[in-house]
Amino acid sequence: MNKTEFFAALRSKLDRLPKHEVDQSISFYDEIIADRMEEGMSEQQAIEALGSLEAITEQIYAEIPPIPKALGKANTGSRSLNIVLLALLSPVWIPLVLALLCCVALTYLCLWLFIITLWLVVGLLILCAPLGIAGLIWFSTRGFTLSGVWVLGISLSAAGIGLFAFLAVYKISRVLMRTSSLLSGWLKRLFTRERMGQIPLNKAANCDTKEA
Amino acid sequence: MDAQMKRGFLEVCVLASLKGQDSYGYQIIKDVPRILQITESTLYPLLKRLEASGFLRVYSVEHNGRLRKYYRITDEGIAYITGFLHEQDEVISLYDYIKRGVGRE
Repeated sequence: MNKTEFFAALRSKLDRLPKHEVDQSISFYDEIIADRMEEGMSEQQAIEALGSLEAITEQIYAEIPPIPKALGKANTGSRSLNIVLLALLSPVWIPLVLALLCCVALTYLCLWLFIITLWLVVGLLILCAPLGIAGLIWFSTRGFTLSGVWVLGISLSAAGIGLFAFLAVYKISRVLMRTSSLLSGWLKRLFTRERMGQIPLNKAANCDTKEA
Repeated sequence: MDAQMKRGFLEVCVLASLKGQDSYGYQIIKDVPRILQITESTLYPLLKRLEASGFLRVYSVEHNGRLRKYYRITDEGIAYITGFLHEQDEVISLYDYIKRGVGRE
């Protein structure tokens, strides 16, 4: 197989992917073949040294994130046909996309409203303490000291519950905020390539062994 | 070498091959330690990932009438290598443990 045939075969296997992705990968392999030939290999040997067509295709596919990949599968190959289909099917996909966006927005709203509500409850409970003291003063000035003490007692109990609740709510909101950022990460990974951050020591254990 | 361990080292080794000077695809394949058995099909997506993460930049240079893509490491890439090397003591202590065991007999 010569270079032209090899790349034609590669292109046909990658025909569903966006054109610029395919062009980039072809130019990468083209360059390596040229480098190998410069070192004295024949074109045939250089192509064989690249590995199997299947391995190359599989690797390229594996790196494309899910949604661009799925969109690639829907690609008819003709730009005008794509546009026509997109316009014709808009009554179907536009409401779907809007519905999905609403789901995502509402999920976030639920998470955050829940957190805010919990904190409001804690805040109000703790607020009972100064309110109780004010109540005691108010009742005493009217001669109902005992009632004032009762009110103070209840308020201090409420504030006490609030202080305990503070710890629980703090822990819960940390879990929920982590859930929120996990959700963001998941959504982002649907669209974009995996990025690398810091290396945790267990990084190797997290990677799949697909490419051995 | 175990496939998972290989994967962990591949990215940082590719970056390390760029540390001293810029390099290009075929040269990187030759420079990266043989034991990692890097091939074009592993290198290509890896370079894309490193570029997406901002650890290297790509630029083109004319060579013998064709365009050759060169890769240059960025500051973030160097920081990534440094972070990886900081783990060295932990890794060595793990290997010590594997050699010695808990040593309770």
